[in-house]
Amino acid sequence: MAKILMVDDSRTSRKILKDILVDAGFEIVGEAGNGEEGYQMYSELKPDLVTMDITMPVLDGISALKKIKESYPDARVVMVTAAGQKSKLIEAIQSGAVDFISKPFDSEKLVDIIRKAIV
Amino acid sequence: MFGIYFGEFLKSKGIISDVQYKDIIDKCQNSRVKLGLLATESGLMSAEQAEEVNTLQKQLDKRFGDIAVEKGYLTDGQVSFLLKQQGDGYLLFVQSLDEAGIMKMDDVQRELNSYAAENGFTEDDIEEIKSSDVDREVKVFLNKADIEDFYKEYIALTARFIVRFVDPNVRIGFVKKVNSYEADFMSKQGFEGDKPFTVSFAANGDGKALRLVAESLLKEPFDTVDLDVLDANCEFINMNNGLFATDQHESGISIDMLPPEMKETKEKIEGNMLVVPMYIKGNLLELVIEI
Repeated sequence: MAKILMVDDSRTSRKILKDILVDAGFEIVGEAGNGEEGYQMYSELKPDLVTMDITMPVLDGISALKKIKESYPDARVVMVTAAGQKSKLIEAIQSGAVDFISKPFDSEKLVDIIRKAIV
Repeated sequence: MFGIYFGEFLKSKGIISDVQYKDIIDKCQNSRVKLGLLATESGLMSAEQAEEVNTLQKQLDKRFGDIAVEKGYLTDGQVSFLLKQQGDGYLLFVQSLDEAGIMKMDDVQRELNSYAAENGFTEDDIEEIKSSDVDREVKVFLNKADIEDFYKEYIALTARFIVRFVDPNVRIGFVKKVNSYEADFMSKQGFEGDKPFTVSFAANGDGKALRLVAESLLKEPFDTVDLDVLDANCEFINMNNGLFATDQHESGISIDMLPPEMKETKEKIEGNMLVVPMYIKGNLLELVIEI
């Protein structure tokens, strides 16, 4: 079972995402509320995939992605974004994000993206 | 929906009771079938197509009919046909008043004139409110406010977003300009960039409107306003703001969202603000825009 770490400052967003991913058979090994916490948890848990929100306090998602990729180049990170963050998404993809999922979530599309990102 | 606006007026005048108002609104809502359901029931679209359009509608800020036409599932003519089938919100409300023995058509017209005079509405405004189309209803209230189109667009988008996720019959009030504002609970998010501003969903007392927003996202009931409720409202604002930022980007205005904030205790804010009353299932939510 693929292990996923979720990094998002919104508990609501984490809950919605978690419900969809658990239903699809993924294991959520950790939840972090900001990018710094996400980096620390990645180092400890070494998950198969990270879902990473973009707008977060302390350390934003793109900075956290860069930090993780610097230490762990093989890390697989999928960005989570509200619409309207196109320029940041481009930066994220250029920084090594595998793909992105948009809010509000479309369960089927989301699971499909996560499955492809893990392979 | 017309009945939400005019019904509130009749209630405030003591012409109908709260119970009568709720009964009539329920009756009108039950008579108004969703467009997607009508399309599938009449065999014009498959259930999968309707579901796909429903999902896209939440992500794209477009009407069901427009998306269905773009996807090639319906023609413009079929959309018009379905809209007619959906029923006239004004007539449904008037018919319900008549059937309940409350008012006849002549009385309705007299009270409608009085409603218009009291609120400064023109005949055209009343026609817009009769349309039971949220965009047209909201425009009537926004056009009375001396504010930039930029903020009108934001308010209209927020009303549509609430309609899609929380309450199909949200009611808006007149926009107020204030320099000081206080509320028991607030969920807020700011924008940075070409045109920075901050928006909050605020409520007082039992915060029922904020709880309804949270319940629509998390699909669980909340008895009080806690951090989960405020967090869900932040998330709701965040999704709405994302759509707004996309629209603005297409118009050449670059704005980006900042991390959201939650205020669980009474807080006073000062500065130039717009306060927009929005009634979600009859409960007041104030959309506060710090400009």
